[in-house]
Amino acid sequence: MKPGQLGQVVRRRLAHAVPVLLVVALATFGLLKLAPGDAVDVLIATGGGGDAALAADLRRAYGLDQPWPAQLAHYLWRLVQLDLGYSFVHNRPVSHLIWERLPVSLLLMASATAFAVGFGIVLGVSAGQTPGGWRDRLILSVGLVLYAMPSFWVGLMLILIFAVKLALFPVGGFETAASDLTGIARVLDIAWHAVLPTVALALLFVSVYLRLMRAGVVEVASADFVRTARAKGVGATRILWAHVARNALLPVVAMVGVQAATLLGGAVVIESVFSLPGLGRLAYDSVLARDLVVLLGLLLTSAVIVIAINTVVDLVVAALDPRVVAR
Amino acid sequence: MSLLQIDQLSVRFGATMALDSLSLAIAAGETLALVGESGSGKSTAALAIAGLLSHQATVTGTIRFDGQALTDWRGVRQGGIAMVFQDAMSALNPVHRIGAQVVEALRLPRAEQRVAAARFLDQVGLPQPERLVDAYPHELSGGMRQRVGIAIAVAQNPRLLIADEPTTALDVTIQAQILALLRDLKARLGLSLLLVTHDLGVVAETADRVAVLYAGCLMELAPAAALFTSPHHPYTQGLLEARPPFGTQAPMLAELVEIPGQLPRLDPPPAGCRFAARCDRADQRCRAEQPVLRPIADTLVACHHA
Amino acid sequence: MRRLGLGGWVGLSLVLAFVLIAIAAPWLYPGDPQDRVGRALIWPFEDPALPFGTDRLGRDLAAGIAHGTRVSLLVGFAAAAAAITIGVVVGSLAGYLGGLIDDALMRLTDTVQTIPGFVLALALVAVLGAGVGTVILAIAVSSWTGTARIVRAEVSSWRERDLVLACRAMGMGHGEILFRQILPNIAAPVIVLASVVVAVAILVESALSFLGFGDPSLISWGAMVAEGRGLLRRAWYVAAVPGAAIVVVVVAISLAGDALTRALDPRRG
Repeated sequence: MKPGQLGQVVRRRLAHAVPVLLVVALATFGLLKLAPGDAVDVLIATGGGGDAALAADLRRAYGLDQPWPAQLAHYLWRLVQLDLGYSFVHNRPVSHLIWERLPVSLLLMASATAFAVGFGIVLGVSAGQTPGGWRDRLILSVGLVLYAMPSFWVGLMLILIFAVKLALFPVGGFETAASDLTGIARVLDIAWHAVLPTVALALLFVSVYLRLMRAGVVEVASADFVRTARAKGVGATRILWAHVARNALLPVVAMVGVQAATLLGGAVVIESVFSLPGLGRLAYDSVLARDLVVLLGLLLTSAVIVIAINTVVDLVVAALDPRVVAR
Repeated sequence: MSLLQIDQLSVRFGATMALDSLSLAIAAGETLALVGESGSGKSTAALAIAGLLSHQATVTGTIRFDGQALTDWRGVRQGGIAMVFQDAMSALNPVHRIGAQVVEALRLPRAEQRVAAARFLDQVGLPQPERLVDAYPHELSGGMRQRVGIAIAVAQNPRLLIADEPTTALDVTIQAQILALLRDLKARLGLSLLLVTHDLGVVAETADRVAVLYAGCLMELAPAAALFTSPHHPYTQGLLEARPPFGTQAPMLAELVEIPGQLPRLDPPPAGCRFAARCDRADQRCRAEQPVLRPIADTLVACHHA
Repeated sequence: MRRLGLGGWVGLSLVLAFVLIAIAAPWLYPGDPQDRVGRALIWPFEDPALPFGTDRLGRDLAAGIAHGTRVSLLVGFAAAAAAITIGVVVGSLAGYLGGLIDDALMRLTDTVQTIPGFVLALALVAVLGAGVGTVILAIAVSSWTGTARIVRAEVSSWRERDLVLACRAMGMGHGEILFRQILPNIAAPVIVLASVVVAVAILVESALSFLGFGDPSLISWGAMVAEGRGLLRRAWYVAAVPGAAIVVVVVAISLAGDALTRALDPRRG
C-alpha cells in the first residue's frame, strides 16, 4: 500500500465518522434529558442535600435553566473540546476517568481479537479442507457450542478449572497487587493475568471467525487460481495457506470491524467477571451509582473506539487486498 | 515415439460419463486441436492429461508422457506438461504480485526471483517486464493477463503445453495476438501444443491435426487440411457447414453451433452412436451399436456410414 | 421436512420443550421459586426430588431453571419480534423509497452499529431502571440493524424487477405492493435472521441479569449464575447448571435456525 492510499483510507473513514458521532451525541443528549432529575439533583443528592435556592443557583451556573436547544449547543460545543462532563460521584472529569481505564480495555480487546482470529483461522482452515468430513463436523459443532456459551459463564468456568482447581492462573485482577514488579517481569505478570479473560472474551468470536474462514476456504478451494497453482506444481501445503487461506482471510479481517461493537460490549462483562479495572468496571459502577454522565461519556467513547477499530481494520484490509484501494 | 500417448482414457463424475475411452497421441513439436461443443468432454480430457481433475472424478485408462505412465504429476510439472487456462482473470491469484506468481514453483533464491520473473514476462512479449513484476492482476488488461498466464506455463519449461480455450475470453484483435504468441513459443521452444477450442477458425490457423469430440467420444481424428477439405463424420460435416462462409465473417469467429438438437444425457450415456439423435443419417444400427474408430485414408472416423 | 436433518429436529424439539417448560413452570414448580425447599447446597443427584440440587439459601435450582426459562424466552422472543419489526420497517422504507430517505436511514443504521448494544443497555438501565421492559427495549434498539440491511437490499432488488411495474400498471398502491407483493418474498431470510436475534437476545439478557441489571422481581438464569459466583470453590454446580441451561437453549435455537435456513433456501433441496 502506498502512503497516499493510506491517507485516503483514513480520510474516507473519518469523513464517515463525523455524522455518526453527531447522531450518537444527539442520542446521549436525549437520554440525559429523558432521565429523571438532572446533574444538579445528583450533585445535591451526593453532596448530602441542599435547599431549592441552592439548586436554582447551581442550575443557572451550569446553564440548565436555559431552553434545550441552547443546552444542546452547549453540550455539543463541550464535546468538540473533548469535555465529556464532570462526575460528581467520582468528583473528577469524566474524560480523566475514561482515559485512565482505557488501556486495560483496549489490551483485553486486542488480545481477545488476536486469539479469536488466530484460532478462527486455524480451525476454519482445518474444517474447510474436507467439507462434510468428520473433522469439519466436529469443528462446526464445537463452534456452535462456543457461540452459545455466555462469556461471563465461560469466564467463571475457566476460573473454576484453571484458577480454583488447577491453580494455573489467577482468579482475577490486572496484575499482582503490591508486587512492585517492573519491566519485563511486570509485563509477564500482566500477560499471566490476561490469559483467562482473553480466552473467555474470545471464544464467541472464535466461533464467528472459524465459520467465516471455513466458508471462505471451501469457496476459494474451487477457484481457478488454485487450479493454476496446482498446474504450476506448487505443493499442497503452500496452496492451502498461500492461496486458499490467504484469500479466505479477507472477509474474516473485515468481520473484525463489524464485530467491534460486540467485542466492546463483551469486554464490559468480562472485566466485571475478572475484576479488571477497565471501562467495563467503570460502566458497572456507574450504573450502580446512577452516574449517568459517566455512562453517556462511555457511550460516546465506545462509538469512537468502534470507529477507530474500523479504521485500523480498513487499513489492514487495504494492506492485504491490493484491489481494495482501487475501489 | 509420441511425446504424449493416451489409451482408453475415461472420466466419470458419479454416473455421468464425461469422457469415454479416448485414445490419441501427440508427437514432439506437433499441434493437436481438441474441438467440440461445451459438454463434449474436451476440457475434461485436457484437465485429465494435466492431472488437474477434482477428487470427484473417477479416471481410468493410461496417460503416458515421454514413455512413462503418469500416476503422479509432480514429476512432470517442471520440464513436462504446463497448462494455460481460459479465464486469465480468475486463473491468477488476486492478492499476489505477477512476478511472484510466475516463479512461485521454481524454488529460486529470493534474490534471483525478480530477474527470472521479468525474463519470463519478456518472453511472452509483455512490455516493461521489470515493472510488471510488481503489478497485481487487476491492474492488467485481459490480453496482458493471458500473457501472464502463458508466462507461468513457460516458466515450467514444458515440452507439452495444453491451452484450454486460451482466446475465448478475449477481444478479437487480442485473440489473434495470443494465437500468434502461442505459435511463436511453440516454434522457439520446440513445444508440442494441445489446443482445446470450440473455435474452428483457431483450429484452421494453428493445428496440425484435429480431434473432434462429441458427448465424451472421439468422432474423428484427422490432419487439419484433410478435415477441412473432406470431413468424414456427419457431425464434423455439420460443424463445417454451420461455419459462416468466408467474407461474411472472419473465420476466427466461427463457432460450433446450429446443428439441430442437444447433447444427449450422459448419466448414463445412450447405447449406440452418441450423435444418433441429431444425425440425419442415423438408422437402427446407429442407435444400437456404438461405432468404433476405423481408418479412412489418413483419418480415423467413428461412424457406421462414413 | 426431511431436509431439517438430525440437528434441525433436535433443535426444534428442544426449543419446543423449553417453551413447554416456560408455560408449565407454575404447575411444575408451584409457588415462589425463591422459597427455601431444603438444606443449603445439596449437590445435584444427591436427592432425587431435587435433581439440580439447592443453592446457598436452600432454593431448588430446578425450580429456578424452570421459572428462569420464562424470562429468557420472553425477553428473547419479545426483543427479537421488536427488533425484526423495526428492521423490516426501516429496511422497507429505505429500500422502497430510496433517495434521501434511504441515505438517512442507512446512516442511522451505521450509527446504531457503531454503538455497543451492551453499553447502551447499561445506560438505559441507569435512565429507566432495571426491568424486563428495559432489557427488551435495550436489545431491540440495538439488534435491528442486520434485519434492516437485508430487507433493504431485498426490497430494492425486488423494486427493480418487473413485478412492481406490473403491479403499478394494475393500479396497486405502494403500500399494497410493499406488503402484499414484496415482503412475502423476503420472509425466508428474515425468519432465519430472527433465530439469530432471539439467540443473541437471550445471551444479552443473561449477561445483564448476571451483572444484576435484570428484572429484580423475576428469577433469571443470569442472576442464578451470579448467585453461584461466590460459591465456585464450595459448590461450583450452582453457577454451572443455569449457565448450561443458557448454552442448551441457545444451541437449540441456533440448530433450529440452521435447519430453517436449509428448509427455506429455495436454491437447495
